[in-house]
Parts: sequence; C-alpha cells; structure tokens
Amino acid sequence: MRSLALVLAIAAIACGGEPTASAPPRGLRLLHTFGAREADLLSGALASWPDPVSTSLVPFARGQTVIGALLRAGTDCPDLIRIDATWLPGLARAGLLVPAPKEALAVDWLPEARSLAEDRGTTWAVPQTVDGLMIVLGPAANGIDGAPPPTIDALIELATHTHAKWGLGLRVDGYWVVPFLRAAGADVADGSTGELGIDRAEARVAIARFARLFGTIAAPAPAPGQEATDEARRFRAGEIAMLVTGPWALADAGELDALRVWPLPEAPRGGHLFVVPKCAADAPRAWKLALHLAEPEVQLAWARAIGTVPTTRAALDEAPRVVKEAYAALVGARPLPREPVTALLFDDLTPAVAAVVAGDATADEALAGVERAWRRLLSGGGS
Amino acid sequence: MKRRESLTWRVLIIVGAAAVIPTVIVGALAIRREQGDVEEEVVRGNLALVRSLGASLDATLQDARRALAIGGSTWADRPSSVVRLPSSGEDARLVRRLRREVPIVASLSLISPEGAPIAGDALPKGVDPGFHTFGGYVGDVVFTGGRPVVPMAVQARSRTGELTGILVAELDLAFIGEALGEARLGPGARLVVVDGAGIVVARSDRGPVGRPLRDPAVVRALGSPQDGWLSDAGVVAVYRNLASYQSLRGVRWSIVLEQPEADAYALARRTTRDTILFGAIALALALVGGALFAARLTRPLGALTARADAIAAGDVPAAAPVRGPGEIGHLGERIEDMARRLAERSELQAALARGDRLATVGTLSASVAHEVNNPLTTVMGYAQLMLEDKQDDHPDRAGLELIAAEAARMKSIVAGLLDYARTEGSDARSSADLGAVLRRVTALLEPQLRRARVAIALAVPADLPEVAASPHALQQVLVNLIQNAAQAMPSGGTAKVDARHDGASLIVRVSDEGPGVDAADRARIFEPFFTTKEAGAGTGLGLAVCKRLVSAWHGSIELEDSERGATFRVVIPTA
Repeated sequence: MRSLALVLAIAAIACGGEPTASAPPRGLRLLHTFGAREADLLSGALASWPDPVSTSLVPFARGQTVIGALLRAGTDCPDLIRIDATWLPGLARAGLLVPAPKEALAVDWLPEARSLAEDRGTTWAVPQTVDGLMIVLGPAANGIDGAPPPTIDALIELATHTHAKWGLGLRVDGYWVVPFLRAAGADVADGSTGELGIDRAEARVAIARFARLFGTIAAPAPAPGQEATDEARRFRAGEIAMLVTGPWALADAGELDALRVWPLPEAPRGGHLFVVPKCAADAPRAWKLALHLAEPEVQLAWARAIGTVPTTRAALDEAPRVVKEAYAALVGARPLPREPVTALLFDDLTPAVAAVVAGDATADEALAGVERAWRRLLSGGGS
Repeated sequence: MKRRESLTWRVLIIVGAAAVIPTVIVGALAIRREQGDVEEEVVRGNLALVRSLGASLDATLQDARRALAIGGSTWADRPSSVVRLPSSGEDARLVRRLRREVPIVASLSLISPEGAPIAGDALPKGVDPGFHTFGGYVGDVVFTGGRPVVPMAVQARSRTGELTGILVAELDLAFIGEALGEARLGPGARLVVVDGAGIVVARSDRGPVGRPLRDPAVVRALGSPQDGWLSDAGVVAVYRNLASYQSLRGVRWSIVLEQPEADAYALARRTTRDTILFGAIALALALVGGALFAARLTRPLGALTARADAIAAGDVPAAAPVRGPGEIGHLGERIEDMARRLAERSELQAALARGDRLATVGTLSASVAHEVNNPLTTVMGYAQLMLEDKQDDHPDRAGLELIAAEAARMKSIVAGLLDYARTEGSDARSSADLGAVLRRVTALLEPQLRRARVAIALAVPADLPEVAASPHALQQVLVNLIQNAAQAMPSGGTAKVDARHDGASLIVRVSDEGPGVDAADRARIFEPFFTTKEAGAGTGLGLAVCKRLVSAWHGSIELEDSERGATFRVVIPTA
C-alpha cells in the first residue's frame, strides 16, 4: 500500500503537481554580487557563451557570510562565484576553493590584478576588476588643476578652498577611514602579524579628524543605506567637488567623458574575482566561463559602459580615458592585509566611526570598543 | 447590361476596398496596440502587486529587526555591559520583552560576541557564530515543524559602536504565506516566495512549501538584482529579488507571481475577439451599404445606357428624363434634350423629304394635268356631242355616257392636281374673312349636304379678325374638309364647324360623326393620293391640297384625337 502511494505521489508530481515547475536548467550556475547595471552587462556577456548559465544574486553586504555558508554546506553549490578580493584568503584557507588552472595563469593580467588572485603563492581566481578608493572630480571641480594632492593634508587643504558647496564627498564607512588612518601613521589590523594598527594615538586623531570633516568640508552623512544615491545626487548636482569613491561609482557619478580621476593618498586597493568552489559540479567548464567573462572584449565593454577597470593589459589599452586614470590612481594604492580577518574588521570599525561622526562617542571611546573587537577577531574568538 | 454590371462591381470593389483596407489596417493596429497595452498593464499591475507585497514583507521584517536593534542597543548601553558585570536579570528581561514585542519571533537567543549564551533559547541549528559577523540574516530559510523560519542576528552595539552581544532570533515566516493567501490575485495566478536555493518559502495556493521550485521565473528572479518579468511556456511571470529591500539585504529571497497567459491576457484576448467581431460586422454593413450605394449609383447609369442604346438604334420617342443625383440627373436631362432634338431633326428631315416628294408630285402633276386637260376636254366635248345625237335607247348611248362620266372624273382629278400644283404660288399676303368664306361654302354645299342628309352646324363668332389667306384657297380648304365630313357620314349626321381667336391665329375645327380615322392611317392622311374612301370615291388629293395651302399660310392642319368621328384642326395666322 505504501508503495502504491509512493508511485501515485511520483506520478502526481510528474503529471504536473507543480504546474509550472520544470527540470533545473542545464549548464553552469554563477553566484554573483553585481548591481543592476553590472547584471545587465553580465547578461550580455553570457549571451556569447554557448551554454546556458543560471545566475543567482548574492547581496554584497552579506556575500561573504552567505557564500561561506553555502560552500561549507556543499548543497546547492554554484560552479562559479564572483567575490570581493578580501574574501579570497578566508575561502581559500578554509579549503573551499579550487586553484586556478594553467590557462588562467597564462593570461596577461595586470600586476595589481594578478596579485589580487593570489593567496600565499597560489592563484585561486580569475581577476574580474581592480578597484579601491580614488578621487573623482566632476563639473564642480572645474577650478581644481595642477597635480593631485600628495597627502591627505593636502587633499583637505584643497577641499577647503574649492568653490563647491562641499569640497569632499566621503562615506561614514571604515573602508573610507583607511587613508586617514594610514596618513596618521595607523592602519587596520593585520591578521598575519597580529598588529592592531588602531591601538595607537594617531588612530584616534585620524578618526576624530575624519569625523569632523562631515558637515564642514565633506557633505553631511546621509541616512544609512542612502550613501550611494545621496553622494551621486550631490556630485551630479555640483555640490561636491571631489568625491572619494571607487570605480564602481563612476557610472552613477556622471558621463564618463566628463569625469577626471586622481589618486587618493594612502588609498586602499582591492578588486573582484571569479573563483571556483571545490563543490562545483563542473570546475573545468567553470574556469572557462570565468576566462570568458574576463576576456579583453568583455572587459572593454564593461569599461566603456560603466567604467569598470579591466584586469588585462589589452582591455586597459583600449579603455576610456577616465578608466585609465582610475587604474593609474589605483596603481599607487596599497592593498589591505590579505588575511581572512580583514573583511571582518570593518563590521566593527564602521559602527565605531558612525558613532563618532554622529557625536554619540568620542574617538577614544569608539576605538576602545573596536580595539576590543579586533583583539577578539585576531585571537580567533567570536566574530 | 454587362457594362452596367461591370461598373457596379467596380464601384462595389472600390467601396469595399475603401472600407476593407482602412478597417483592416486600423483594426490590426488598434488590436496590436490594445493587446500590447493590456499585456503591459497586466505586467505592470502584477509587478506593482509583487512590489507591494515585497514592501509589506520588508516592513514587517524591518520592524522586527528595528525592535531587536533598539532593544539590543539599550541593553548594550547598560553600565554592566561595558564593565562586564554579572547579569542582574536584565538579559532575561530583554529577551522576554523582545519576544512580546516582536510577534514573529519564534525563538530568541542572546549571546556574547564570543558566542557564549547569555540568555534566552539555544542557538538555532546551523547558525555558526564563528564564521560570520552577525550583521543580519545568518542563513537561508529552514523549516521547523513545517513552518518556514529564518535566523536573523542583530548586533547589540553600544552608543560607541562596540559590539557587546548578539540577538539571534528565529523569525516565523508563516505570515508571508498568510499575506500571499490574502493577496487579491487575478484568475489562475499564484504567488510564490523562494529562498536563494529556490526552496518555496510561502505560496498563495495550497501547494507544498519547503520543496525546490526552479522554473524559469524563479531562476531568473534569483539571478536578478531587482525585478522583471518574463513569458515562458504559456506563463507570464513577474518577480522581484527581495534582496533589493533594505531589511532583506543578506537574504536571497525572491517573490514570483506566475499566471497563465490565457488568464493574464484574457481581457486582451476578449477585447481582440470583440474588436474583430464588431469590425467584421461593421465591415459587412459597410459592404452591404456599399453594394446598395453602388446599385443606386449605377441604376440610373444603366437606364441612361439603355436609353442611349435606344437612341443609337433610332428609337427616339419622347421619354421622361432618367432621374439621378447631381451630374447623373443632369446627364439624363441632356440625353433627353438630345433625343428630342434628334427626333425633331429626324422629323424635319422626313418632312423635308416628303415636301420634296410632294413638290415633285405637284410639279409633275401640273405638267401632266396641263397636257392631259385639253385632250380630256376634247374627249368630254365629243362625248357630249355624240350623246346629244343619240336617242335614249341608242345602243351606244351607255358607252358614250360612260366615256363622258370617266372623262369628267379624270378632269376632276386633273383639276385637283392643278389645284395642288397651284398652292406653290399661293399668295400668303392676301387676307380673307373667315365668316364670309364659311357662309359662301355652306351655301355652295347646301344642296349636296342635303342630299347626303348631313346638317352643318356653325359656331363662328362674328368678330373674328381676318386671316392671312386668300379667300379662294380658304374656301377650297373648307369645302374639302366639310365634304370629307359629309362623306364620312354616309347615313347622315351633323358636320360641325367652329372657330375661335387664339392669339395671333384663328383656330377652325371641322368635325364629323363618322367612324374616325384608323391609327394606322393617321400618319399618311395628308399624303397625296392617299385615301380611305372606296375606289373611285376620291382622288386622295383633297387633304394633301389642304395641307399645302395651309402650310403656305404658315399655318397648320392636323387631325385631332377624338373619341368619336374625326376632327380636323386648322390654325391660320391672322392677317
């Protein structure tokens, strides 16, 4: 009787128990963190790929968490993942990734891109783009000429004397604090050495200085979650002379031809990568897809459309001027420590900076909490 | 007839084409546009519903997270948190209060940043505090006792931003299914919320949850950063990736609304069907109207064609003009004008021909009469002389009398011919008193009429003007007409003569009570030598002479239509 019920149940499902359900599409599964514009370009790039590819969005904000959980579980495993470069050490050292094949190593990657794809001497990824912080000058920066400011002090001095409503556009975010920490002689924690970097007095000075910029030289901090749209609106309206941001924001900042890019002193550099998890069903094919998505023609299309900085020399040579300027700016930037803990640092640094900017805490109070949190992280406990 | 049919068909084709082509083109465009609009409206409406549901879902979860965050922050700012004093019961109170305030919380744990439990329930299964940072949702949906729940971690940060604890809640997502079930969906539509693995979290229908659903819409939704729609395998689907909502960041959920195209576009299809139906009816009516219009337009043309054919064939009797609108009516009138002129011309030509013939006859008759008259006089004279010498019983007497009588008759014919010929030179400039002439004629014919028992009734006013005719010729005409009247009444009767003044003419009518003139003879009655009398009773020249005489006066003579007898109507211009 139970057998009969099972047969009937299977038959019911086969005959349309789920009316619109169909067999999972064949082909590769790609997990990505792209926004709307990038997703459109991805669709275009996938159109020239011979097999069907099902894509699935992972929100960037929790991408590391979600991807880590997925790969650890091993179920519903994607074949290819587009990740932030800071996530690579954690995923690679957890044994969740497949090293890149020889074909990936043979590509003429830009040096900054190649280093992004490596961890402890092994190449784990196909670099998709190089990014980091830089200075974007728009219509409101029309009187700002000469050489880029060599220091944060020079940048603030320059921003103080612009004709725009706000000399700078900054975000209340730990990533944006990094140049100020570095300029003051501090830094974020280094998981490889165990140095906190933030436990110095210079860090407190830097945080306090950073917080004081908002509403004086830099545009006021918008409501949480509105940072990108608010800064883009202000920048396009000419309220902000110099926007500190990354290549990801170029398309929203205005017409690419109308923008200029300067290097940001002490800026952090990063990027995005295509990686193949160990649980992938078809890793060789996934690497081919990764290389396809990183082909110069594809990268060039993205560079022209939204200002994405390529990772191949061939694409960079043909890229728009502003993209070349962005790459030149990023060459001088310094990567964050290539440690698994690095990406997690900002979960504590950003709320602390926000508390200082909001006036809820002094820099001393805020960094004391960050120091305690980072010590926990470096010691491997808790978050 | 063939031409008419051809013209009718052409007009019908033109009218049909004028109706069909614009109707089909405009109809097709209207249908296409209407269909596109309705389909777009369906997608827009369904997308609005999906967005609305997504926003509602977002608001509920946002409220939950906000409540947990506020509670966590308040708890984190307590003095004992900063200095790490032992719990004084605040932790348990926090958990109890948050459970009350956030109804969708299924379980709630308060743990330290190191992951050690502080208060509340045990950590949900699968939540790994060592890897992630407790910044939001810490896993996909799981099913506990058949109910979908999602673990969510909310950082309890102090005013300085320091992490002092983590609230890990399991949120009961059954409310999503209830919300979907209450949504007002179109026919055949269903709403489904899936997690990042395509597992059905909630649905509006009674289908199973907790199972994978990886149809094209779900696959597309999971890969899309925002919302969109697609049509596949007869199903139109709209979707929204809920990751785009503020409170749902970190959760790879999508909400999908699927509806069979047959149901979704039912209005469009019904509108299309109705448009085609009404269009076809309108088209048929237009064609019928066109056919009627074509027939009406070509009917007078057909009549005109037939009329023109008849005229071309020489059949040009007077007819009423073909009626028709505008130019057609005008053409009908013009054709009748042409026909009338052709008839007049034909009649004129016939009259001319007849006149020539009569003139020839007159000339010939005059010549013959002149040559024959003298021998006849001789014959008749000698016959009379020889009769005088013969007794009544003389055997030759009968023959001589016959010779004399026939000679006399021949002389009468010759005299008639001479009269006919003489009318050529009738003097139209003389004048005559009709009354006087009539009185003389009646006196002259009185014996003859009395023998024939024919009375004569005159109705002639006394003050009639004189007519432009010679008295002798006028007498000749009246004698002829009155004699004819008498001869038409062999059993006797009354011959009426009346006259009246009509403008520039006098009209004299002479009528009898005889049998009248046959219709077949009416046209020839004025021709020379034509007679309806018995052989030998008439020369056939009397009315011909009358006609010539009257025509010479620029008058007319004709036989009127009458119910009884014959009436000759003579019009003579006044002097």
